[in-house]
Amino acid sequence: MGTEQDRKLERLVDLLAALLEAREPRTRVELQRLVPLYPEDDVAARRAFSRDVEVLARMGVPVEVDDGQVPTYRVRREAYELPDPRLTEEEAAALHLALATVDLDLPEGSAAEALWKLTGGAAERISAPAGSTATLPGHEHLGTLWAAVNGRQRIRLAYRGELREVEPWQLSCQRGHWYLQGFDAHRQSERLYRVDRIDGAVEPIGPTGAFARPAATRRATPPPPWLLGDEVRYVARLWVDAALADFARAQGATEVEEQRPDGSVVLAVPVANAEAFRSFALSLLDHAEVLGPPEARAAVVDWLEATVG
Amino acid sequence: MTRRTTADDRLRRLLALVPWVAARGGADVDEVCARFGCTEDELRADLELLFVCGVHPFTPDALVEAWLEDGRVHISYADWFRRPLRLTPAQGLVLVATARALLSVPGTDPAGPLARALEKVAVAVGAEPGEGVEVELGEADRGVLAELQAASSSGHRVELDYYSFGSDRFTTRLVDPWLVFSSGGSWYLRGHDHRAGEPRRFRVDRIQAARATDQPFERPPDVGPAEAYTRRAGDPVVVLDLEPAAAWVAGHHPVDRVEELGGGRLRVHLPVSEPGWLARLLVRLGPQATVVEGPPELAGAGRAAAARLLSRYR
Repeated sequence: MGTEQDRKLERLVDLLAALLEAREPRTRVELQRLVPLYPEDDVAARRAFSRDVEVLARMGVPVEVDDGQVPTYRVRREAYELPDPRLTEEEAAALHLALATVDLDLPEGSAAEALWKLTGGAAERISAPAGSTATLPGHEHLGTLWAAVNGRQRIRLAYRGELREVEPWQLSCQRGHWYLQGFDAHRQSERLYRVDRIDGAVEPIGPTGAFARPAATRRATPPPPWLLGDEVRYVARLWVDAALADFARAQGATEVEEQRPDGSVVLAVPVANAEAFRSFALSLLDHAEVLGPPEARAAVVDWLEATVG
Repeated sequence: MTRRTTADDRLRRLLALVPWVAARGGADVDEVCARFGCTEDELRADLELLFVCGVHPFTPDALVEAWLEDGRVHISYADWFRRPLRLTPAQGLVLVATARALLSVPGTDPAGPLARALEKVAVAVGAEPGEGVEVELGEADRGVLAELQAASSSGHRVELDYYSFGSDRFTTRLVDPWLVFSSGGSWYLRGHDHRAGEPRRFRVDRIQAARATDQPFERPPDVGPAEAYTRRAGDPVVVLDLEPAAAWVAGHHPVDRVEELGGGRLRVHLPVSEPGWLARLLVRLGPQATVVEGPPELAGAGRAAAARLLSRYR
């Protein structure tokens, strides 16, 4: 009667019940004795079992695996169970409405499933109010980073070609990008990382609760891209005409060195990332000119010459 | 739903549905189906399966009881699943970031139901309320944004003083504000522009002033996508070869087609809404991008702008 999928589902439910019921960690062989429906053949059973554990872990079941000589498995109830947030109907409706209005797509981040868990879903379809929506950028590392921020667990990541160990303090979404604010353990200083510029995987290391976040983490200020570097290399002088002066300042070049009578300005721009600064200056086209220092001006000229070909 | 339902999907639904029904001592089939997004047949199949689930030695007292009768769902002895599974980190972030985002919008009550829900959810997902994540939907004058949102929801036309980056000019326009949206960290208004006689998109941070009028408007059923750029049928296309350092263009701008050229190089087919926009992009990309194909006035746009800028530096 049952299909292959039914058998797989039944096996998963039974395995999860057995893991939750156990007071002591259990080995694979013990678990397979308790849960029928595993293949007779040992190799196939082993494969099916590790696949099942993976499926459970991916959906967020906290399967503790002790990799001893004979690995053991358990799921602690207190780690499995969602504490009841005791949302009122009004609060639940506000949450549903928020999720219908703001779109943030993450792997293993289904908003519908989250609402099933928190509120038992919604009896009636709730859609965004006419006239207003928002979309936030998604990124595959965000779930891992968020878990590390909340768990106060150090992470290792590759950034700008270097491996770093970071105490993650806070995530922020600004100007359409996600940033991680944290403390770089090697450099012994606070840093800001753009999440979509992290190379490869993010690896949590060591125990949770490993560091204290500074009291009331200072809100990470919107970092203009030309400040995303390890140190300020020079302060550039950028002339911007009256039409785009406000626009340029809104992008983060806030310091006005000189206000000219025609409404144009000379901005003092500290630069840690020369490529990003060049890109910013050029995006203003005829409305701007890099006045100095000579190395910044020369870099623009070289770039333009290469562009003209 | 085009994707086939998998065993994982069914397990996720069951693990949320079982504690919800059990805690209520039963629930109407229709309501359970509506809440958990399934059909009655799917629900029946899952419950029949749950009925044989349990723990060793699978005697009746070690099995879940689940059945459907007279339009009601009954579930008991499901003590292992008395509470839903915790949220994944990504789900926790989606909830908290979403609520934070909306709370940053003018007009949201900072002590209202959403703020209270956020506080409770933060605790339930193990986050410290008020910490861990900040979301900004875009820089915009709060007064202008609030005026646009109010006019959009009450259905009134607005008069805008707008600065166009492309044409470098100020204009005053009458607009039907169909949709106010945030995308890519900026706020936009999408609506019918009476001056142009067609739908247009405006960046809210370039609207100097917005005044609601007393003229009502009708919102069409399809207001178009909430995207920073909407592909128009007539938009010309340029074909660009991108060096690895410029490959971000493919992910950052809507492109019609991407081809791998090997060694991390890409060939993209990029629709262009305004020549000024393309010139800006090409000057920024410089030697990292080569125009392979495109209408002559666009193909040379980057080079022409670079030459013009260069003359200023010499």
